Amino acid sequence: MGRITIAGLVAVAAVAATAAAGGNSPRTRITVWSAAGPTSQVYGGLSYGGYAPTTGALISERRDVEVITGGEVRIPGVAATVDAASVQLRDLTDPSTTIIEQRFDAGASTPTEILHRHVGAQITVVTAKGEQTGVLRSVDEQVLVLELGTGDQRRLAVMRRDGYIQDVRLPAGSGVDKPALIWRLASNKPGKPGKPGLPGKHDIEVSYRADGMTWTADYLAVLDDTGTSVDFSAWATVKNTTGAAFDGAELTLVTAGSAPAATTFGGPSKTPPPAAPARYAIAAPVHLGSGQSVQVELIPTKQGSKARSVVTYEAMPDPSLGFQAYPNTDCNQFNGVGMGNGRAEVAVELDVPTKDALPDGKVRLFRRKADRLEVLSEEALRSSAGLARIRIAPHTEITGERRAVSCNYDERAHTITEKLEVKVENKSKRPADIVIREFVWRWPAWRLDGEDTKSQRAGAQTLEYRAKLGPGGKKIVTYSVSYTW
Amino acid sequence: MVMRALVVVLAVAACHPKVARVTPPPGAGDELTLYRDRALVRQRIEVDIPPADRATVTVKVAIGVDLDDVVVLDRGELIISELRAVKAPEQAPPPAKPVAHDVEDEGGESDGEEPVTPPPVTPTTPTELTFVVAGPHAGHFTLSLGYVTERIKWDAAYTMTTTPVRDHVSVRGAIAIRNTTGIAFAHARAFVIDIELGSWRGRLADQFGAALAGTPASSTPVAQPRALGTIALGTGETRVELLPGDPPRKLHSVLVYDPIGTKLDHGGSAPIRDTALGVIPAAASRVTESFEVARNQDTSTGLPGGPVRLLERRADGSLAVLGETRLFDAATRVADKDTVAIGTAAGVTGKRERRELTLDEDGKRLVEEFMVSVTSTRATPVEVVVREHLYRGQNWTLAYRSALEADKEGPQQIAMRMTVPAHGTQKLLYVVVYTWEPATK
Repeated sequence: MGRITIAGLVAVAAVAATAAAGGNSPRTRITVWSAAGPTSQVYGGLSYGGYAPTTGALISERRDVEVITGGEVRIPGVAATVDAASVQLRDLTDPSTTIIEQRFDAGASTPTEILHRHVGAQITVVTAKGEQTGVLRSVDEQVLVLELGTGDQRRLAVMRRDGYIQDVRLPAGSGVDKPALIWRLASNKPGKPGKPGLPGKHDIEVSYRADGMTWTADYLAVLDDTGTSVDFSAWATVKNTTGAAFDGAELTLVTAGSAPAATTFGGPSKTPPPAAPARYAIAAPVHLGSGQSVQVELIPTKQGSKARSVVTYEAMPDPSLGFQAYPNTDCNQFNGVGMGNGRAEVAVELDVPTKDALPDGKVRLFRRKADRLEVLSEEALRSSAGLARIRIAPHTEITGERRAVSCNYDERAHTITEKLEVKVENKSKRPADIVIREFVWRWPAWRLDGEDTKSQRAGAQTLEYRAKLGPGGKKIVTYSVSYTW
Repeated sequence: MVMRALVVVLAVAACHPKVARVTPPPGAGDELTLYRDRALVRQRIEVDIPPADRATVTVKVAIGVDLDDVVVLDRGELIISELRAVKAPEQAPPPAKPVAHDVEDEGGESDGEEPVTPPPVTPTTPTELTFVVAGPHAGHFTLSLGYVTERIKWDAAYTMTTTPVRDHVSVRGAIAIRNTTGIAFAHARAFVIDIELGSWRGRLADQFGAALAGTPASSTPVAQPRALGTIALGTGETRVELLPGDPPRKLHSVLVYDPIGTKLDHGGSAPIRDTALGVIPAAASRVTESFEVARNQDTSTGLPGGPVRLLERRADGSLAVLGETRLFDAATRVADKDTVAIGTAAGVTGKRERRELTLDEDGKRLVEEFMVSVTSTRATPVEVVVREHLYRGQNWTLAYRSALEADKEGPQQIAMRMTVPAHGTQKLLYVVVYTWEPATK
């Protein structure tokens, strides 16, 4: 049989499989949130007035189930980490169906859990001294307790599991079930509310939230020898430790986003709205095996993109992570005294086809040189809307300083108004494209009152000012910012 | 089994219309860059995709490589929709050990032994990765994977063979590469770079950054890649000749006074400010009788460091060991001569004393002045190589030297020559200045 015939048959089989699965709609849709960012961890969570970032995954599966008389149905193979309170049912066969009772059978995955499920059952324990059959009474990680004999001869034997016990035989036919949801359904057709669910086959959609599924981003950049062209790809590694496997899943990956309430305050705010979580729909269906990690392409690979060389300047490291729970009101801090010359770094940047900043992740940077590949760096990617930036090395001939022109703390109004000046000097013999990165670090709720150079937002509390400096050139940027809490 | 044979295609049916086959290995494709601590592997995969929209391909990579460690360096026209690690059998929990006990442990009686936590499971088989790939059309495609492995180790060693005349020497060298990745690389272009990967990466990034910014790059000599050619690297050990056809080199006798050696070398940019460093205890007075071998810069560039034995082939064909040292280490990376000590020089002694030390913490400068004297009781003048190590740090400059020339042999090593008169003493003075960032505010 030739290739075309095979391919044709395969295609027909695929179409048939798709049709059986219910038209073009996917059987499984999974939305996965990325691991929570550092902001939510520092002083974090609700107890300090913060926010609880969304984590885990929202799993939506279509299944054909058999409802037995009395309206009971079992949904096996759901995530072991299911949030039982989040379960929702949509019955496509009988839309009036509702769940009136739900139980979660957690299944068992570890040896101890499996043995636990046989407490009270007769088992056989194999040791170096032979076999002993009795009723399992108790088990933990170290020992198991077996009830031996009957009547007057009844006794308990405590056996060590590490070494003494060679084998444990469970009764035949005691296969351990996968985690399952067990429902009692009611049909609520007009005039007949509360009747048990209709027996027979039902096409249902079950949705629930589960922990144990997360994703992280990784990037790869390959520069040409001159550093003017770059191949850039972005990958997401999805880890599935839910205990369930999902085949042909339509995957959507969502970033953690920023705090929903903390970045705005009253009055006409010039601050852009808080960064909404970015969503990445993965083009092809994905198989997520239990315990597996899968890498998928986050955005289409960019081949031969133009790479621009820039120099980033930061007068100080970003202190904002330390002030997410309460504002910093000390006007003497980072006001310019004793702060040194700051840090300048050579970086390459490229345009990326995203409206949002790319998710946090490390970027591996390679360079092609004379048909050989060299490793240049492995750093955290810096990204803002439509832009990715990769650090290369320190720049020793660009220096600067930052100072507070004024700082006013109003204790009653709960505000701080600060005017800042950043001066940068290019001491090298080459012109340089400078990106001055400033951190509005005192508190996440801030407003830009004025600036003499147009800034761009590069993060929840990061501003960037661009300047082109010739050899020996200087640039002064001044801006005013108000914080209120 | 050649590496290509490890590439397996999973034919999938039904809802996965995927049939792919892997072509036999071509002549070349893989690339190995061997660093001191790790190796960078660029592994090429070739796939023929018949008319179908997607295919599933399974490939084996080195033992211990995780999915997170692998990058797709070049995919050509292929679109990779999934990359998945097939779970290794070692990752399953190990079965309980059948240990025989002399005394029955029933009843929960402790035998006094602490519970033993089993060590983490070490993988013993190559990692299998599965790709789901699609091509724009049916045909032949290639893609390249990149990853770093610690399972390719190497050592280099050299021999120098001379004759009783001792005027020329033949240098031979070989690198032994031990591959425990679990896979074979049948036709791999191989390079060796005698430096740790992290250090190399940092140096390269600094150089590249300086080139992009137009700022001066560091003058510290950096290791150079040495091409080993296309090699067949099977599992186990493979030896590759490093200096095939290297012509004989000139050899001549010389005295060397190297009172400190490389033991104090500090590789950081900021110097060690301990005032006693290199002075207490006092430097040795031993001057060695040595042979000096000219280096052929054209053929020596990038050679990895390793031990060398200087052998003499005598008239009866027997070999005698004259001396032993190390060649091409970082300390002598840019030297144009190598010296091999063969014994203590009779009648010649050296002395090294520090005349002055100035430490300026505000100006970030440390200045040291040294006087080196060599005394000879021999009846004829002797030529002495004085080897000094600027061991405090990598940022140094010679502010003054009384010798006409000081040859930089490596990042922290200089050599100065002097002729000591018969029954006399010759002195040499130099001043070294160490700085650290920022030099000025």
